[in-house]
Amino acid sequence: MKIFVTGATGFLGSKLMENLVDDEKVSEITIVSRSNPSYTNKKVKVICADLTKISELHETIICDFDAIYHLAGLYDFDKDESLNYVQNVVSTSNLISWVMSSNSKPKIFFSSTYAVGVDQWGLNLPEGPITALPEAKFSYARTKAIAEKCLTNTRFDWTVFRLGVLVGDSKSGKIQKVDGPYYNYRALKKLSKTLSFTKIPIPFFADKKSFLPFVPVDSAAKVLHEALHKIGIERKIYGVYNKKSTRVHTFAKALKKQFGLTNRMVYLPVLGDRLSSLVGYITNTPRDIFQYAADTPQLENSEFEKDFHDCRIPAFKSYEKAMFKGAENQT
Amino acid sequence: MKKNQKQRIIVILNFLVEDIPHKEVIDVQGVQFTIITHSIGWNFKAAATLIKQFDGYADAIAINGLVTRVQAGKKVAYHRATRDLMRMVQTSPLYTGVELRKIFADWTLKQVLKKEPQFFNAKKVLFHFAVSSPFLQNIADAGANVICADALVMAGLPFKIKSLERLGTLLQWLKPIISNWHPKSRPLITKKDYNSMNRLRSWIKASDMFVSFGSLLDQIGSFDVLKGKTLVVDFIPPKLKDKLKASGVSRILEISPDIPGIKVQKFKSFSAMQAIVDQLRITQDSQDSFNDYIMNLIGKYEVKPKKVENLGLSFQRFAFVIHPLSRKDIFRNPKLKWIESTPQKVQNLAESCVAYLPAISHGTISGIKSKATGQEILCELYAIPATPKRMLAMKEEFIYKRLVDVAKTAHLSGCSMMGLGAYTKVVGDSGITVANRSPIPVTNGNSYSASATLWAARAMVDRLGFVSRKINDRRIRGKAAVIGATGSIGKVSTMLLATVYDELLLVATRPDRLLELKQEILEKYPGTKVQIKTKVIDELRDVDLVVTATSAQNEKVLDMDLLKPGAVVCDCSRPLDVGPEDARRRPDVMVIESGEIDLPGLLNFSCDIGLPGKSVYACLAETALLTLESRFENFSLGRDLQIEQVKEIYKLGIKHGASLSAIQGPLGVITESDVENCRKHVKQLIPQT
Repeated sequence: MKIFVTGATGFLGSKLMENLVDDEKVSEITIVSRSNPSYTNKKVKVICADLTKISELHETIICDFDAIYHLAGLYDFDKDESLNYVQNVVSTSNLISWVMSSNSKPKIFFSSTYAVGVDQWGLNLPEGPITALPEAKFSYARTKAIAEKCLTNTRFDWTVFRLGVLVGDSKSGKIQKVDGPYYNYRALKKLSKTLSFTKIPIPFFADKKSFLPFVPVDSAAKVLHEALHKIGIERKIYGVYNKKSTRVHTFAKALKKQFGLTNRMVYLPVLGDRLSSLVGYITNTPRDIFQYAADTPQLENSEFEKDFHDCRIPAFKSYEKAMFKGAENQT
Repeated sequence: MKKNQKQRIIVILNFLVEDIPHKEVIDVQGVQFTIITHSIGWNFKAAATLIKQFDGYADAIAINGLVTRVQAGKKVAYHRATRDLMRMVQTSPLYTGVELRKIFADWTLKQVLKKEPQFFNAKKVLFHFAVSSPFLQNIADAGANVICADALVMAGLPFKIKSLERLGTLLQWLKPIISNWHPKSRPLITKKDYNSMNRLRSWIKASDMFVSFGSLLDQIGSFDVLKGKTLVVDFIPPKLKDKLKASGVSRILEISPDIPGIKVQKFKSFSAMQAIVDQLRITQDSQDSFNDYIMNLIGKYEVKPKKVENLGLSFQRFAFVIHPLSRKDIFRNPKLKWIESTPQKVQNLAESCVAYLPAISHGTISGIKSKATGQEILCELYAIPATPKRMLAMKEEFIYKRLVDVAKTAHLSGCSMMGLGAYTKVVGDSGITVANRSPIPVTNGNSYSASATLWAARAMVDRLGFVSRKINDRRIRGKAAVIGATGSIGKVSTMLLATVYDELLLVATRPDRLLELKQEILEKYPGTKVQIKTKVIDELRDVDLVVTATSAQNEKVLDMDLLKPGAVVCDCSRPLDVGPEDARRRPDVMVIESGEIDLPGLLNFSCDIGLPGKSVYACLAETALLTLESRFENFSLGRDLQIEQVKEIYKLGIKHGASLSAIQGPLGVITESDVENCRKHVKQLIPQT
């Protein structure tokens, strides 16, 4: 099998590459990157091109692959919103255009995010097409949603994986950068010494019952890899998370325990934009984090559980230690 | 992508909406166009990045929804961010579609105004996004009341900009802000901005016309707000056309031309169309300029500007002026009620002072709907707070001025004509001066008042049942008298009664006019017995119906004692000839003053006009009927009635479904029990009846 991978050097992509390289059925892996990473494995070919530029793929390589993993995108709340559009939407659009111009019909596996449901307060995010785009202020979620729609509107054999919050490897806890729940870890770490001397309640800017769909990166990579060999998953959308993962208050307790704190937790889920920005500035946390934590929709994943029963996402308890270990190393 | 001369790549950056990127390949006159559309909302930075990518790669870049320069009247403001963005394009030609849209907008609007000069005149025209609209100046010049929703749409600010001048002023004041304004990455009002959305929808409902862009139409929510309105738009997306038609929109003016193979609707922008046409010109190595080339295309395909598409009935309004009939009506106002308990002198003073206040908007009557055409109209009631006593005492010029002010206000409100009620048509020349000065046509309603009164008289004669009709004939075996027969109303009454009654008694002061009138009747209705008198005594004893139409002004013109039991007196005079005391004295004689009218439709009154149920005054009904018929012209003016007009307005009433409702007498509305009471008294006096 010939595979094409975008975003191969990213957090998820690099994990997936490990799986693909070890897969005997995969004969060739072509990755596209703006930088020029080196791979020792002979299976891997590197194409230097910028996905966001419409002509580069067309002029560089012909699309004759059996499967494409489209993982490239921008996942950085601190980045400019226009960059989100270009990296998430334009790159997807260019990829689609490139595939359309060829005669091949590869399977396309797209890494989306549960955040596309961030606007649906209290509503279910079914494993189906998006019905309403997130608000423009959530540029990451909105552009991922648009990109997802770009792909699902085509006639390709696509499969969309709406991943939960990617956290470190379930064994080593290794992460590439501080993101998502690691901001909380970092903030609490900074304040833990002060808090341990005082009895002031610890404010936690999230709804205590809000569901945190953590997904260890190796579990996500395993799901994506297994998809390559499954049949009957074409034109389906999967919610990749464990519904019994963890809730905010459980995570908060785990954090408290990690830092040996006995202070009471106070949950303050509703934060306006300005207050989010202020708190974010103080705690060095992107504003969007508060909104995602405060308003997590009810997530459906019955189709995922059914079709990927052999790749279930582990429960939080099983990788809690590894996660904090990884957080400690990174922060 | 490798290209040859017959392949072109066009990139459209659509700023008006946010949607998934779209790619399409089409063939236009043998040239293959690949159209890539990025709908990015107002994401200027994304646009800049995309321009950098596509500049030099695409054969043309088309920008939809941005203007470098906004203009309102003579005031101009430049948007720096847009200008900078456009300057980034170095290699590929850049198209905004402004030139092409202007050509077709001007051409189309001129054709419309040629055919219907009043198309926009005095209409409340709401612009969705005025500063970007190619129609703004043309429509303002055509006499429209321009209302701009720009502040709401662009910044969520809940206020309308109510004229082109104010928009220009705002542009002037905000020039530094507009110039440097960098809109956040959000499109114009999305469905989620519920408050702004609902506000915009309420503004659309209150206006007569809505000017928008095809790309923005689905952002106003459901199209029910466009019911009865006129929509002016650059193009209509095909998927919305049926929805619009089903919504009850009255008329649509679409300016996008139908040039074969190059439909604006397909690409949602004039900029794309301009890009395609210009690229065609280039591939064909044409030496013509763009304007010449497009004119050749228009000539080649015989393209014509689109006409107004009539889909339904537009919503019309008319104004009607009323006033308090006595000081009691004034003191009904809660703020003035306390004056009732003050001494008479204070009440007199209050009545005098209030009379000098300007007219106010009193309420509306909605739901008037023709049974024949389905046309629906609205009546705006304006009240001049002067009683008849004050009006007659005031200078005529003052009343004229008040009425003209009402006409101007009504005009601005979108009313197509104005009716004069009660004493507003008695004072002065009964509407002639007001009509001359008013921006909208005027009628005093006298034609239908006369018609309704006689209609009521005939109805009352029938209800009492003392006079028989001839078999197979609408004529009545009886005698009718007209006192004041040669006057304006008297003459019309005489001619109408002559069609029904076998015998007529005509009373007036001038013998020569009586002779002339008699001759006229005999010529038209030979066989009618006509008696003429300057003074009557016994002649009234056998009269079944007496019509008084004098200007006697409190002189006694009719001795009630002379009338036979069961007679009907129809008092058309103003002031009335027969007072309440006379009516009470002869309970066996039915005195009526006027007939009120039931207009067709499910009427909804926002205020009390002093009549029972849903009845309206005949003069108001006349104005309504003319509006239903779209007869926007001065109709009844002055004191003279024209019998043709009386007949005409009566026929219009029948056509649209108006009917006689309440009949007014000196003691109030005449009920069935009043009729029964009269019959009883007659039978007591003449048992054999």
